[in-house]
Amino acid sequence: MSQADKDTTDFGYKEVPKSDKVKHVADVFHSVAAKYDVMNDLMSAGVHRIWKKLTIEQSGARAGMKILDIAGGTGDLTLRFSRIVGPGGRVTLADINDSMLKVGRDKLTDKGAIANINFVQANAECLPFPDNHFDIITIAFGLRNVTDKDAALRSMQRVLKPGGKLMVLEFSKTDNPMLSTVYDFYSFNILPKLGQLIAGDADSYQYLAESIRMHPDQETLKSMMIDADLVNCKYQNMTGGVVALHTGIKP
Amino acid sequence: MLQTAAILMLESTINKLLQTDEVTCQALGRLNGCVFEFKISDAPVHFYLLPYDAGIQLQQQFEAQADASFSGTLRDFSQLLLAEDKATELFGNGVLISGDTRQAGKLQRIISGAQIDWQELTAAVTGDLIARQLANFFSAGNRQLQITSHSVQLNFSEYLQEEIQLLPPRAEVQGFVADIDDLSQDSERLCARLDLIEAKIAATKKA
Repeated sequence: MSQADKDTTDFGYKEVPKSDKVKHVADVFHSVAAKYDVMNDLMSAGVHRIWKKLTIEQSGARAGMKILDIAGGTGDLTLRFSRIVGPGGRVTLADINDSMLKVGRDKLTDKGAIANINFVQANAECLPFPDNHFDIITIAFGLRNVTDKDAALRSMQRVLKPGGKLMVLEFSKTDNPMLSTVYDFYSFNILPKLGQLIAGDADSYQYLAESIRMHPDQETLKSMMIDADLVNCKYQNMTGGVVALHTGIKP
Repeated sequence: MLQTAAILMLESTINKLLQTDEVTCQALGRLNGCVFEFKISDAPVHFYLLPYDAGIQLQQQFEAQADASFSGTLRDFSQLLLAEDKATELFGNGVLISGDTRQAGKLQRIISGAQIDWQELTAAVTGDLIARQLANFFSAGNRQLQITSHSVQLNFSEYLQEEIQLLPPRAEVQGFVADIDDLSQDSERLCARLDLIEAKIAATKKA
């Protein structure tokens, strides 16, 4: 049975009604929004900046382009893209969660990056943009929180211009048993405690660890992208597969 | 990934330094949208610089053509960083510029005009009083170092030239070199004249 045919979906290790997942995920991000950047730096020892930087370097972005940063959160990718596309381009930061969007908007405003950026509250499964609109779409650490990932990929494919590139940066599966053991221990024993200590919320970080395990592995996500009518789909593992960058082109 | 981490650290350091110089940041903002490529020929360093109004963004890859490209050796670029007159170092000593030289010139003027407030940066860590004293100490030390190095240079030349007479004075060497140049030119003229005379004799014999 495909994801689309089921009435329930995963929320971490729990099965919840599809209609409830959005609310559960929203609660998680409302809770962590204020400390999101600090926690990202702490959890990954700053390595998330390198993963995002590599994504930007491989995006092929240049001046004048229209770029959509879905689940853009606190705007790390948007900020860098806005400098690349320059005054003639446009970056749209979309996030379903208004708390994250507010944190992102305030952060970018403080950094003086507002002239070529739009902020849109949007669900990735039904993006409110015209067909064939964006040159590049990125979704970084957001796809695993989406209820219907196939619908989201199809929606992204629709708003991408022919020849445009979709980039999915997401936690994935390590193929090194030793790294997996260390990573599991860290995720389930240290991460929730760190979340409790810094953000005052262990449950959200427990969900983070579980949602990573429930997310499709590299090959499955690649086949989902192919099913969404993207071509030249490929992925690149980073940090031993802890994170993978999937890319696909709209024909 | 290591190179990316190094680029991120370099970018962060430069931007922290630039935060103390608002004028430079504003000038960089006027180049927003431009891309500059830097290639160091004798080291595996190749990056793109994108200015914006609060600093710079560095990238290892950029798909489109850069507006201007700067290339040279590590020595050329390090001389540029250390030189008091950066304009001379940039245009006169090895750093090659290609592409839109107008934009490159603007960036060059921004680099040469940058005034990093080291005292303010130190003050953020040590407090104003200690930062001021450190600045005075290093400023006085720098002046003394310049005077001492100039004095050592003069004394050493004098010792080599006058005391042990190992080397001739600069003026004598310059005169000698000028004499050689004159002799060389005279020889070439004589040679040309002899060739001309030989040609004339040969022509007379034929006639």
